[in-house]
Amino acid sequence: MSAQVLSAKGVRFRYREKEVLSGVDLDVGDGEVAILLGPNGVGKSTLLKIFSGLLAPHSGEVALLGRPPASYGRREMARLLSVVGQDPPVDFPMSVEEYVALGRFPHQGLFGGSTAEDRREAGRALEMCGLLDLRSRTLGELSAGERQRGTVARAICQGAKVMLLDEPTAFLDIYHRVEFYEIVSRLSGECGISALVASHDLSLCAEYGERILLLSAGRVMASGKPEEVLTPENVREAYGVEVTCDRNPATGAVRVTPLRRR
Amino acid sequence: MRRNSSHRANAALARSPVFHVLGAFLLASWIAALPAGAGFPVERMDDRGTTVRLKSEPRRVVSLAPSLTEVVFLLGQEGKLVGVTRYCNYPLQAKALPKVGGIADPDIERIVAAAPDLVLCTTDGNPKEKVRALEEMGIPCFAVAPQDLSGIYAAIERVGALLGSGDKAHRETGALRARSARASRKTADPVPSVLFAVSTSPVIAAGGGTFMDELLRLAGGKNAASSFSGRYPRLSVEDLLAARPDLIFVAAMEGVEKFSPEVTRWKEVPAFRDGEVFSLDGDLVTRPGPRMVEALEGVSRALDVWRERHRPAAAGKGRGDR
Amino acid sequence: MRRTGPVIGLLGAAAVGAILLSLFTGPAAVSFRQVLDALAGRAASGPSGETAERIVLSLRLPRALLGFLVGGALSSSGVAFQALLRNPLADPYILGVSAGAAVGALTAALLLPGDAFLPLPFCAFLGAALAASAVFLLARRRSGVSRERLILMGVIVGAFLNAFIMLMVALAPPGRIPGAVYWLMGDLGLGTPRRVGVLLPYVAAGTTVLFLLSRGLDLMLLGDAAAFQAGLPVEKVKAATYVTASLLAGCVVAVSGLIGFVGLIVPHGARVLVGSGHRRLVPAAFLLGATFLVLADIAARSVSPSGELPVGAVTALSGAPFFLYLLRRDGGKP
Repeated sequence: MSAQVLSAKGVRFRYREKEVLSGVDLDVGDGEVAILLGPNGVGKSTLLKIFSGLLAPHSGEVALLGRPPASYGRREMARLLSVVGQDPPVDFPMSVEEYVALGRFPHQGLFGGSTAEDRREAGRALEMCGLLDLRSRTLGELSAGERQRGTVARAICQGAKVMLLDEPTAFLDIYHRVEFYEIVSRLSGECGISALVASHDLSLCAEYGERILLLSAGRVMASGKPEEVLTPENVREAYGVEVTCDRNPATGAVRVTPLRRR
Repeated sequence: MRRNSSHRANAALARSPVFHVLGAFLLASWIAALPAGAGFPVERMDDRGTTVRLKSEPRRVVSLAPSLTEVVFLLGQEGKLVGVTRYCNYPLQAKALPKVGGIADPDIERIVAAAPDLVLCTTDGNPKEKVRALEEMGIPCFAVAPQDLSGIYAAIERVGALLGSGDKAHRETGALRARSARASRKTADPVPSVLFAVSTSPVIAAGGGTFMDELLRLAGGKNAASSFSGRYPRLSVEDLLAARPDLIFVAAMEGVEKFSPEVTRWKEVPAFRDGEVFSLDGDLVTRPGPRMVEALEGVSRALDVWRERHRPAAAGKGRGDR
Repeated sequence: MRRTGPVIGLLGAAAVGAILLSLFTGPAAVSFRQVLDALAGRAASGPSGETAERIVLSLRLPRALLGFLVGGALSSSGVAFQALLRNPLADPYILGVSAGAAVGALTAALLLPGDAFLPLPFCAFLGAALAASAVFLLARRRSGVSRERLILMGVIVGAFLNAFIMLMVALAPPGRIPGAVYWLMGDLGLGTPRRVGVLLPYVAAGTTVLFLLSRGLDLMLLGDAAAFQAGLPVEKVKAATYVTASLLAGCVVAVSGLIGFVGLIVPHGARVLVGSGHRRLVPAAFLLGATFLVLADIAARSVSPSGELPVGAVTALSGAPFFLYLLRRDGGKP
């Protein structure tokens, strides 16, 4: 049994004629928080969709706990892996409580009733994300940050060992971004959840990420500790931007600062 | 050749006053006897209030309503018809005439191509704008919209005048009036409750102000739908039960229209219980034309039979007209 | 969580109340006592008593029950379509059902001999089923059925069929049109015990299936990707929802014509009362729609001196202000 919770070997994927992933190799260990960095359009979302079974790679191998995603039943898969995307739809008035409780679906199925365990897990997820006070509000009444917490709560409620998070902080302000990463860290630390976070936050992920994977030109260009991956050369090659990297004197983590063009 | 002398004689004659008067008289009678025909020019007001003036007898007539086609045939003037609607089906010869469209959708081009000198139309069915378009092209249009029997007679007379057969029109309307009088039962007793249905599913009845209402009242009946306002009220089965008509006439349009068995099983309605449901050719009662009198006669006959059956036993003979 | 049990109970009571009210209203002379006697099964006295009993049991009761079933079915179907399409403006007719039913019914009305009554509902249902199937199959791709394609195909098929309807009405012999047009406006007057009996199992089965799919409907609101990742067999649930909701709508349209507005607005009203969770929403919408339609039918029969009004007009006229009030009270959120 592999210690790697998520692994990809030589994964290729094409959208129509354009090849987006040209041989991606990566793995995420048990209880690890790995952060997937890369410019827009490089294929971070695509990779996450392949891991969650939504898309199938054109070649290469993908494994979730040692088995390819397609070999799992959908509900079985959902019990192992949860996905946090962006803003949930607010066309209909759904309360936060109802929304989070939906996360229990893989355990209940279409026809199963709501058990005490379901309610307990939902309550725990709400508490962990600081949403207990907002539980009866509808999603439309919340701010974007609160809604994002709701989505994380739903994923926690799902009780999955592995979480995929797709640019979850895209629309959040700094307070909520920090809060978000705090929650993810806690999840990993307290509950042993492994997480793969696709992100843009170069500096924040240096603080919180145990491992950084830098995706560029369809491949994982660099992988390892933040200070190893976040170098001016790597950032220049991946993002096309000149930066300077130093250590944050307060925390010791790598700090990336873009340089102005003359 | 004695040219000189006859020349001088003619010149003298031409100068005499007698010649002038005689000449004028001859000229006048010649003008009067022109193919304009007797009675022309003629002028009549139509139901829109427009006065139509015809200098001479029309030769080419277009009819935009089946009722008007029937009137033209009644007056023996069908030789003038150069265009009728596709719904004009009576008498049979009308079907062979050239078609110029429908009632709500007459084809202006075809009408104009037929080069009519008179168009007979109705405000109850022909679109106003099209009629106006024809008039703007210089084609006189005469619109009638009779609302009752006397209106039909008046329309026949006016159309007859315009077509140059005023006498025939007068004779025909006289005959129609006589028939209608014979079929009327003003003092008949008992008075049945009659329903005239224009549709059986859903049940739509002819209410006050319709021709059917007039017919059944003339025939000595009472309109079962009189408690409803509006000209064509829609009745539920319960409404029928509340109204309890003794007879029901169905104005069947193309083909026989029957009531659904779910409706006829309610024997509380005397018409269903006694089988007094009659089908009338829909064309008879929906066309404000000469055959309306035929419908009246049919309704009257049915009511007479009903009255025979329901006459109180002690009544003597000879009441009512036969 | 809001206590919704009592709300649903209240709605059920309201529905029963509306049915009872319907039994007491009508133009024929039936006394209060006679209605009770008929319901209790007590023997009627004399011919007028028998007539009253027959009116109550064979005319008014089936009509009320038909209104109950049709209102409930349209509302449940509306709930399902709104979830399937993630669109608050969806109603049961949006994907071809109404246009198909209308074409079927008009074809029957215009082509069949005047005394053939049975085929019309069947033809309407057939038309609805064919149109809904066409929309679904046209919208299908290898990746499944997306809601955008469904809506698009629904609009296209609907427009195509509407052209047919216009053509038929234009070319039809004048005598045939009123019957067809009135049917198109919705008519509960065709309620007979037999029709109710035929409709009941379909409505019961269809609504039950939708109720069982409640969680699936909840998840579909999150979007296809999220639902899939949460473990829902998305394409299967979509297909099941589509088929069930279309059949429900098709059945009731076949029997009672096109009654609009109910399937669109009642789901929103029900959401205000019990929230968005479909486990509660489906039964609540059913009962609310049933009550609403029965009441609207009572009004359609009693209000106008010119006879019956089309019930579809009454639902729209009366329903719009009422539901506006309900939605505003909730704070204006859809």
